[in-house]
Order: sequence, then C-alpha cells, then structure tokens
Amino acid sequence: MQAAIDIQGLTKVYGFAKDEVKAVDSLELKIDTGEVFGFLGPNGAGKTTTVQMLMQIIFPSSGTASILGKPLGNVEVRSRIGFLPELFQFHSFLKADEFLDFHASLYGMRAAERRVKVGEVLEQVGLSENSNSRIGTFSKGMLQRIGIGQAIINEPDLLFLDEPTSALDPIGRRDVRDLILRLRDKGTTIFLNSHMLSEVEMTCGRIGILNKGKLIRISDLDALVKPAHCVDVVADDLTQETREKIHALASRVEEDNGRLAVTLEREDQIRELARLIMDSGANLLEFTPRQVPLEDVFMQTIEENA
Amino acid sequence: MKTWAVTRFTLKETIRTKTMIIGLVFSLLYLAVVPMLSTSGGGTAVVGDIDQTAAGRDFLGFAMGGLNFIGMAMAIFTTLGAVYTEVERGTILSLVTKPLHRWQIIVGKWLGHVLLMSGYVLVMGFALWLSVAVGSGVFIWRFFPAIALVCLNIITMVSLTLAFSTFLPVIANAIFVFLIFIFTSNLRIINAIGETSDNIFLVIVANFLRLVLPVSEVSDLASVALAGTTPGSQEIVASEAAIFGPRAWSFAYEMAYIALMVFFATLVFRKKDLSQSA
Repeated sequence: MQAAIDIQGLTKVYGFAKDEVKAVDSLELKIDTGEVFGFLGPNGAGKTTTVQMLMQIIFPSSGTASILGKPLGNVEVRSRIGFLPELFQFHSFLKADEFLDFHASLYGMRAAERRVKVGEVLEQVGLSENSNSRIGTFSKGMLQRIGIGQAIINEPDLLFLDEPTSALDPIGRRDVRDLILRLRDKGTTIFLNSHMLSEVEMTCGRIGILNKGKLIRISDLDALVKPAHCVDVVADDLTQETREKIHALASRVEEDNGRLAVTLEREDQIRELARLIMDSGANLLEFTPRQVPLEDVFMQTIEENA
Repeated sequence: MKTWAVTRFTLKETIRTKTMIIGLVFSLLYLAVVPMLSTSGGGTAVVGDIDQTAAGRDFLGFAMGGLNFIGMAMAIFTTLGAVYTEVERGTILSLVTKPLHRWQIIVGKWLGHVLLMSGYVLVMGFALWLSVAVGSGVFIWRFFPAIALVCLNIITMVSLTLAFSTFLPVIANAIFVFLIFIFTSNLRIINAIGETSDNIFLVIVANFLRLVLPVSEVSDLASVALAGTTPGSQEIVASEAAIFGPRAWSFAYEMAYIALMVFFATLVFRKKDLSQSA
C-alpha cells in the first residue's frame, strides 16, 4: 500500500551558530493511506513545525517527504489535501458562505459546484443557520467549525488537523470526533495534532510522540493502552514486609493516599500479587486491574526521554 | 481561474479598507475643489481672449498632476500590507496551503490592486475630462493617453510597494517607498546643481538615479502627451526636455520596471517561511 505520508530525515533548524535550535530533528515517519494518526507532544515539541513543513508553509532545512506519492511542494496534490492550522485566522469581513465559496474557488471548483458544496459543508459543520453572518461576529467555537469547513470542502484524501478541538465545547468536540470517524470510514487519511489525549484515544489508530523535535515513540494505540498489568490496590494492615515483597514483584509501585498503583511485567503476576496480599493477612478492600490511559503513557514517555 | 479568485478576493478586501474609503472621500473633495485651485480657474471659467482649448488643457494638466499624486499615495497606502500583514495575521495560511503556486498569490494580489487603482484613476480622469467638456465645450482627447500614463505610474507604485511588502513591515515599507518617491521626484534639483556648476558627474548621477523609480519621468511624459503639438506647448516641452525632460524610452522602461517588481515579489515570496513563529 502506498504511504499517504512518507517523511525521511525531515529537519528544521532556526537561528544560526550558537543560537541554533532544531525544532524538528531528522524525523522519519510513514503514515498509511486510510490511517488516523495522532501526533502528540508537549508544547514546543515540533508538531506544528512538522505539519507546516509538510504543507510547505515553511521549508525544511534538510530531509525530504512525499505526500500522496508526490514530493513536497507539488501543487496539484494539494487539491487532495485539507488543512486546519492551529492558529487559523480569518478574513473577518466575509460571511460564512462567502468564505467557503472563496476557498472552494481556490480548489478550482465552478460556481454551480461551489454553491452545492458550500451548503453541504455548512450543514456538516453545523453552521447552516449562520451562513449569512459575518465571520468577524463568530465565537471561537464557530471559527473552529468554519475552519474545519474550509479544510473539508474539497473532500480531501488527506486531512491535516492541528488542534481541531481546542476552542470547542463538549458538543463541538463530539461533533468533530464524529466527523473524523465518518471521514475515516470513507477512507480519508487523517493526521491529527492534538493536546486532547482523550480525543486521540477515541479516534486514532496509531500515535507518534514527539519531544524536542525527535520522534521518541510510535505505536499502535491498542498496544499502548492495552491492559498493562496495572492494578489498583487498597488494603488495610499492610506490613512493611508485605510492601517490600510487592515492590520486589512489581516493576513499578506508586502510592497515593493509601492506594497502591502496582505495575507488573506479566499478566500471571496479577494473581501472584493478590495471593501475596491475602497470605500476608492484610484486609484487601479493593483490587482493580486497569488499562494504562494514554495520558500516563504520554507522561511516562516524555519523562523517560526528558 | 485560481489566480482570478485571489484577484477578486483582493478587490473585495481592499475596497473595504479605511484607507480606500478615506481616499475616495478625499478624491470627491478634490474633484469639487480642483477648479478653484487651478490657475486658469477651470474649464468653466475661461473668459476673454484666452483660447478655450489651451485653458482647458492647462486645467487638465494641473488636475492630472494632483490626480497623479493622490493616486500614487492611495496605491502605496492600500498596498503597504498586501503580503506582510497577511503573513503577520496568519490569514496567508489559508491561501498557501491551497493548490496554488505562490506566484499565483502574488500575481492575483497584484492584479487586484492594479485593477482597483487603475479603475479609480480612469474614473477620476474621466470625471475631470467631462467637467471640461461640459463646462467649456472643449473635447481634449489628448488627455486620455496622458491619463493612461498616470495609470501606468499608479501600477508602478503598486508593484514597488507590493514587492517590498513581501519582506518589509507596513511602517518600514511606507517609509522606504515614500523616501524613494521623494528622492526621485527631486532629482531635477541635483541635475540643476550639476548643470549650473558644470559638474557633469552630478548630472550623470541624477539621470541614472531616475531609473530607481521612473514615475517622475513618466509624469513628465504624461504632461508632454497632454501638451500635444501646438507651437506654444512644443516650445515649453522642448525647453523642459533640454533640461531634465523625459527620455524617449522611459515608457518602455517603466513597463519593464513593473514586470521586474512583480518578478522580484514572486521570487522573495517563493521560498519564504510563512509561520508567524518562524
């Protein structure tokens, strides 16, 4: 299968000599067609810089990439791409339908086609009733919606969304999530930059974590958030000796207000842990195996690579 | 078609700017006031033995000079932030990520400003011509090639300002363009100093520097075009030409200058990082 995005050694350097900062450092990444890929990282990690290089808003210092089989900078391929920038600014004097009509015209659509498409997109992003309102009067959430509208007006094969839900209320977030899932079902490849880990968890099949310009982890989401043999334990009368035994058995133990979060290497150790506590004569009040949330994976990965 | 979409958008955007609105109000005032400012009193006030045609031409020459200046000022002010402000605000992102070559964005914007300002000059010019035609019954057809040259000057200012707006902030662009304009408009003085002091170097420098911005020279050419071939006007033109008059190729040079500025703008913009944080 042809990769939708194939990045090879992409690097962006700002400044000179002593002041040189590598915003993105030798990034290697391949994203398959039809995939929903979550690109995570703390602020300043280089996520937006990466997307900006892929969209040719800025130019790489070195390295190459291809998008939908064409090299970076190919203009024709952009007719198959949609893009919502993180800090999307609008020409506020335009009405919502004029705005979308203008963007549709930049894709070379004819007037009749544009009329139909603008109506459809306004409906999709929930702004049908505001088609005649000036963008300057829109709330943040409405601006985000119209931004998403211009990104999907060409029915893209590849969609870049940079923080698409940052300004949205819970209903708006759910709408965007549903939209992403609908587009995914239609086979659209989606590259999602987001701080909203819960959104990523609900929509992405694979994630990459970027820190200080370097890709430090890439994995299927299922592999990351699968039951990680982590158990929450609440027990009375745990002796020091028992605690030491738990520490010896586990790969990691965190204690918070009497609650132990015990991470084990293997699944069979869960039973062993339960037996160890019961045999010690402690009064076991709670024993809950749980998934490691993406947030924990994210934090752990960043800490390990700090 | 995509370039035209950018042009239409630029027209729509620019026509709503405060600068444009103020400029239009000022222009209407100018139309009302210019007959009073003219030494001949305007086409409608010609009396006695003064030749109606000569008086009408004098008036149009005077009014055209004003229009040339107002038009250039409006061209500069409306084009100052054409690219830089869009980059600064981030609105450019929605253009450069679409299936457009970057040169199409520059050419589309340039065309938008050119059409708007040319339209402005032509309408204003026609209004002035009409005031003479209706007021004194004289039809000075030579005014039209002259106003076409004024139009060319406006396009030159749009091109220069747009080229600088690809890398200069609004204020810096304004200072830079006005300095060039003022400097090249006063080269006649340097030339005159060179002539009177027999300093051939100053004369050569003054003539060479006219190439930096050819609008003054083409303004003179417009005056020549308006003056026509009547004996009196030829005399004036001949004496002007002997001192610091327009060179025969200044029109062609201004056309090339415009092309060069647009090319320069596309060249700078082609590989420019457009991130606000970059």
